[in-house]
Amino acid sequence: MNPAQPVIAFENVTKRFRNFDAVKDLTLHIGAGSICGLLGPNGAGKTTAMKTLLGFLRPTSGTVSVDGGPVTPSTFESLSYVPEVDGLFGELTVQQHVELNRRAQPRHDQSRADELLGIFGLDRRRRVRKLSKGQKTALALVLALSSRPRILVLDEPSSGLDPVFQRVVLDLMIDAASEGGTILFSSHQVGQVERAADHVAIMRGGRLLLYKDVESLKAAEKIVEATFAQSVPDLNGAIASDAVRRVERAGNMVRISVRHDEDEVARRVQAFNPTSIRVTDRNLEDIFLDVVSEKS
Amino acid sequence: MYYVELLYARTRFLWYTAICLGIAAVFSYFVSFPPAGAHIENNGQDIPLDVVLLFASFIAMIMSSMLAATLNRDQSHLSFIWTKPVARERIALSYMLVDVTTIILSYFVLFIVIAGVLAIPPQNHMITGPMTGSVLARAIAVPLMAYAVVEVATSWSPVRLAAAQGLWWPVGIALLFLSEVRFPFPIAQLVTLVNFLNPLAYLPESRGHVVNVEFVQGAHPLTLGFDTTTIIAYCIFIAGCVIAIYNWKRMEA
Repeated sequence: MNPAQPVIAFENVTKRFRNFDAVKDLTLHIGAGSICGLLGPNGAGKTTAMKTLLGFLRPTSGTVSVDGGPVTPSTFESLSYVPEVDGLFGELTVQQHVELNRRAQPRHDQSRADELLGIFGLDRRRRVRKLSKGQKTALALVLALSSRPRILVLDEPSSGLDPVFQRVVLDLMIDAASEGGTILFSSHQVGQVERAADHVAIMRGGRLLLYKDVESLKAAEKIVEATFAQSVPDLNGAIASDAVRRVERAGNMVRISVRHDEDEVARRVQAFNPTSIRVTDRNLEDIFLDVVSEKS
Repeated sequence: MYYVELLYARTRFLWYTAICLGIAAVFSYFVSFPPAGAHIENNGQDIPLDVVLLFASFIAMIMSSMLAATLNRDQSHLSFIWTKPVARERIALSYMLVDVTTIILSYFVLFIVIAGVLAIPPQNHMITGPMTGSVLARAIAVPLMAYAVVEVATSWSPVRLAAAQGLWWPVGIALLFLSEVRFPFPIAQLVTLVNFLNPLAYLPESRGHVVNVEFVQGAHPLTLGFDTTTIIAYCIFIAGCVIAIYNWKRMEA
């Protein structure tokens, strides 16, 4: 494989259901060793995009590729998928699922499976229909990770998991990426993407609105956050400029999103004698909300 | 990937065998040890093997119904099974091989059980006829054909069509009765044509002492020769499996 070649590539992919475009002209390249977090409101097209990548859905137009080629059964020797809805067999036990994986997946590593079952505390004898939603998600993750895949596609991987196991899942993803794995995962929890992903893709209404690396995205805009002793004074006239993207007031606090010119804006706010003022990076949640509302 | 279907079929096969053996045991017990006051008269009978073969075929269709719609049954598990490094055709074929083997095994289990029970009275004699070989071929073809017909009817659907496993029985019986009605051209021909896809239309056929099922005796819609219709049944079975695999492979999930 050419090192410059993306591991996962969508090229102008559109997926239409009757008269509805679930994904519109999606072009997205994810390089080796990258963790890409896919964000978007419900119905944004995240799951459809993933299903198109995996061959569950045929693109109406455009192409998808993994390692530079089309997705074939052999692709799944090195690619694992954790779906949003578990897809497991309710009548089978946890152990029978592991056995099924062992038989169907040549790269299945039993010691890894044992280790992961231990981490998630899953009882091997338990039937899947008796597991909680979080336990089913955990089992799906165990099965996906037990083959030590080079590429991971996860649709809401921490759905139903408690905060402790959500953290475990993120750590497992980061570990996989540190070993050269490429990961595409979707989530409704922006904090998870912020913690684990190095790239973020934001979709809305089937379109890709933004795809950038997280650090440069956060650094591109700053937040000037000021607290006043009483109510927030009228700052609009003082800070009005093209650099100011949004002003939010909450009680006696004001948060001003600024692009490029944060020191000047902070100096102008300082003139109103706040009790405290600081300049911080924007968090991903702000960026997400901005992007989604801006393009609507 | 056959492992999942193997577990599913194994459970049903064990239940089926247990029920067959249970009924046979009860029946054998009452034949061997009749209750006080009861008298079972048996002066020795010739039992045509052909009838036993076809009766076993009819019951084996119950197993066909239980196992049919295999591919459709997995529609909620596709995200799991389609992401293994195994071609979809191979997955589907392995499921079908497990099912077909189970249906054939079920058939012979039932045949052996029936034959065993009938052979308990020492005066009974199982007799073969000139068509026994052909009847055996037909008897195995019918449950396999029933399986394939349900597979084709359900394999294309991304939603679960479990009802088809049981619904084909009343549909099949209704088609047989419709073939008795004197419809004008071309409805009568259409009914006959549709009956070619009806497994029940292949089961009872008058052949001397082979079988005697009154409600279809005079109404049998398939007028071709016995062996020809048997070949048609096998062709429908094979074509059905191929179409079902193609449908399933092309399905979007």
